[in-house]
Amino acid sequence: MTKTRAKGRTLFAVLAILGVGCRGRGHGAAPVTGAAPASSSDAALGPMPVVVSSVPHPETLPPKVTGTTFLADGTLLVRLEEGFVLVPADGARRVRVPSGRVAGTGPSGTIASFEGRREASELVVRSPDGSVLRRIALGFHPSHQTEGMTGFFGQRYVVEESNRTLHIYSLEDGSEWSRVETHSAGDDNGVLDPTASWLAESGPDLVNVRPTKGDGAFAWRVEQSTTDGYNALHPVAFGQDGQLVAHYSAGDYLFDLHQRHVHLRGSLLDPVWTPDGSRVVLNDGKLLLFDPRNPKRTERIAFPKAPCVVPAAKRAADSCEPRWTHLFGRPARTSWSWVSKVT
Amino acid sequence: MVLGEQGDVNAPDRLLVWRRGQPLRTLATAGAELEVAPDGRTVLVFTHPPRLFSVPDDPLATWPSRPLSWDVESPLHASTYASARRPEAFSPDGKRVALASPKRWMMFDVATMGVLAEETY
Repeated sequence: MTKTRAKGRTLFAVLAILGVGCRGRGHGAAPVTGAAPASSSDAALGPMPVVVSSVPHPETLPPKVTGTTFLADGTLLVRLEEGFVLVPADGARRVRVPSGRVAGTGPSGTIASFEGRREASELVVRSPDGSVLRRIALGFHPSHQTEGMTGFFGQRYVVEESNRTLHIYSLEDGSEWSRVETHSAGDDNGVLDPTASWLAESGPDLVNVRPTKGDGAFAWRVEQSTTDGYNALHPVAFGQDGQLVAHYSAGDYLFDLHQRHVHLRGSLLDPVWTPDGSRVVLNDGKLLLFDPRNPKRTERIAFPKAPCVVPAAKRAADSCEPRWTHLFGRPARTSWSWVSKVT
Repeated sequence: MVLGEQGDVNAPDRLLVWRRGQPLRTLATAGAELEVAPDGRTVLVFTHPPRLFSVPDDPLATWPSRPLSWDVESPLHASTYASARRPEAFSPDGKRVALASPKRWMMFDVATMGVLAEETY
């Protein structure tokens, strides 16, 4: 054993002089990670400043899947902690983008990601096959807290800076099209399509909205409206195709933002759009399905009498009223017993 | 068709399908997030494991005593989505569904529940 150790020390000394085999061993430097266990001959060398950790080297850590989203063209976007994967419908010919953070997807299947050496220094827009369509140098760090504000809006792309400044870029030429300062506190924002024609003609080019806490993506507050005579006071809801329900001091309105047409007015509550966007479900005491494209198809739905399981002695006034808790997978916030009249 | 959950606000216990103003059928005791396919033909409920329900062409005439349903043959569980936004699991045509966990993602064919693609990290 003594002879073996002496031979080993001699061999190590020779190798050290030759500069062989010492890289990564550190001699008191940072621990070696992910290295194979030392050989028996190395072990026989006695105490050496080598630390072998069972923790793999960061470069060998597997990526973490953070979510999946289907793009408009049917391509599956797999978001990783760093980078993303594009999977066509047949599952073959996958495209891997090794770096970057997905920042949004566009209506035609385009993907925007923040890339660059330092995080979020460049906005890269790609087609579903992974090819780069546009690179936009940002020159600032987008906020991590404002996913609702960042995204595609027609041929515009909005990025919110950490200081709440909104940068709106043209995807046609990559130039900064507009910049808006926001003032409200909160973590989330949303932007209504600033390319709508009526917005352009009325001067200001942006409607800045902010979701209320805990209501997901369908409850918003208009902070900076360009519509004359309409000042939203309470949370409103955006649907597809430019539909909006807002609550004003004079009542609630369901109107089409693009056509500037008021579909319904009165007392409307908890609007939810059907998955295909064709109808709006409004809770006006009874459930009302309103089809803006064909108002004659509007349906009114009565609630059934649900069996009451609460003993009469312990029964509160409304304890047996059925309540919608979710519609189309989205929270419904009120009970059906809220009654008002739709004019 | 209206699809929604009823029950206590914090613990919905019924998943309902309505049509023409009349309740059709209680689909499941859900208590979990759900997602309706864009074509309205399939409902994915994020239970453990996730479950898929198909909606017949004419629910009033052909609705079976128990809705056609099956468990997604996936080791993935709904807990992944607990704190996430709407998972958007369905493809735009409603024919595929994708599920993911931190270490794995899978894409299924809704009609056959065959695995079209998957990857484990």
